[in-house]
Amino acid sequence: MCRIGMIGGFSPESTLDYYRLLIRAYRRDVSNESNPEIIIYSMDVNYLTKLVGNKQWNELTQWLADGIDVLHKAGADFGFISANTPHIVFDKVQELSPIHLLSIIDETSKHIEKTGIKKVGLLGTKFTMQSGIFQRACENIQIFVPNEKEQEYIHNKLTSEIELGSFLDETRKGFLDIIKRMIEDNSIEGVILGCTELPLLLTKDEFGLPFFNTTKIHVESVIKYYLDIIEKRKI
Amino acid sequence: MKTIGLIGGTSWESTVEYYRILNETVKDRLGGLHSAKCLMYSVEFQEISDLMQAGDWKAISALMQEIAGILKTGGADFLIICSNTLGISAPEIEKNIGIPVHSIAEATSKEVQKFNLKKAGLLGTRYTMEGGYYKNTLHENGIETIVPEEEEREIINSIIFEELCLGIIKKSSREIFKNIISKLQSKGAEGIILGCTEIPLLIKQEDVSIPVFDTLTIHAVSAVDLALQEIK
Repeated sequence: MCRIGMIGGFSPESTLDYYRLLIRAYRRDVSNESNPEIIIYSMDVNYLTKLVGNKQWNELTQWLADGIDVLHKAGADFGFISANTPHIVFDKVQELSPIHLLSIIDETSKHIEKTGIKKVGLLGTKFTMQSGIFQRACENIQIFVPNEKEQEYIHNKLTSEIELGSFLDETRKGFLDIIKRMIEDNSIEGVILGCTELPLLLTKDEFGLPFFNTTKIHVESVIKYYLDIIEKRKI
Repeated sequence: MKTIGLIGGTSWESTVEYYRILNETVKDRLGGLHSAKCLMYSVEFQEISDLMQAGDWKAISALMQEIAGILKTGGADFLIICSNTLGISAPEIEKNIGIPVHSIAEATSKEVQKFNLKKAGLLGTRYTMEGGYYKNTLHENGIETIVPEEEEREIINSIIFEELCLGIIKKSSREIFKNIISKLQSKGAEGIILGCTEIPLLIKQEDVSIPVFDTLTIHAVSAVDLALQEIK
């Protein structure tokens, strides 16, 4: 018996995406008729946004650590936070956590390093783009972020439309225009969809470039980790 | 807001619906980016389904109690079991684990009462249609239950497990359901309870001329009522 612990709710829409993908990946690897054991603690995205907006990093760390504690008490063997932005304080949360946590940032950078790509564009919330978390994790990859005006646009659309479950063609076009400009100006060879809401809007690769779906990459790592534990316990 | 504990995964498709309705209802009530506070345990359904086939309800109840204990430890204030069939474990969980369970049959009974109905048709898995959980709860609330004939119950049960639980929606199965429902209607049913969280994937209100009670939605929305009760 092994249990996956997931901090969800950031947003509920992407939590469902994670849940579906976890089950799909597990069924692909194990059996079509069984499910992994998952505990999801769905926390308040409103409160997350408030703490991040005010840069209350200590409070954010403690709040997330308390959430992980709920998962631990509920019997989760390991855990993860199903969003990019809260990973700004990931290292400190991991220090406080009694269980191992899989970072979406680390898993994504490992994944991109394997592809051999050297220059990637990063889209995400303003906090993710500006915090340098991806830049620090991807040692051998050059990360480019949109300019200030574009960042403002992306952040606005994320919080006023996409996180509320609204996916508009016009917004999709706006995002693709930014990517196109970055291909021209920065010669990026790939794009990190560095917010778990983004794959809900940008559902496929464009301009012949790989779009790195951080939700999917994270899910694959979680299922691999889960199956490894189960395998080890069998021996 | 109280923390809602969910026992899910039976099946995971209906658990997605629960989670979606809980969050949408909270968003509607509180506005903004507000979302439901919940702790969900998604079980390995195959294990439970095997126990059901074997009729080992004792083992199922033990498993449900174990999970309820986990959710209680995690801080859930009350539980909902995201399944009609497994709702039967509610009294034992309350008694042995000491956490309130917001029962799907109770929530449905209250909703049927609002329509002043005296007789309702009940569709669900074989266990739900033949067992006493719904029948007794509805009876306590002054509602008489009628169920399809044995042969029809068998057909309904296999459509649920072999199609709906696997996400397969067939037009021909919808017609079968509609036929069975009109038979219940001719026997005096004034409403139809979709007593399996998978049936609303197949049958909607527009398919039937009498009120249809989607137990999943009724259960999830009333759980939000309960979770928000304190903050006024």
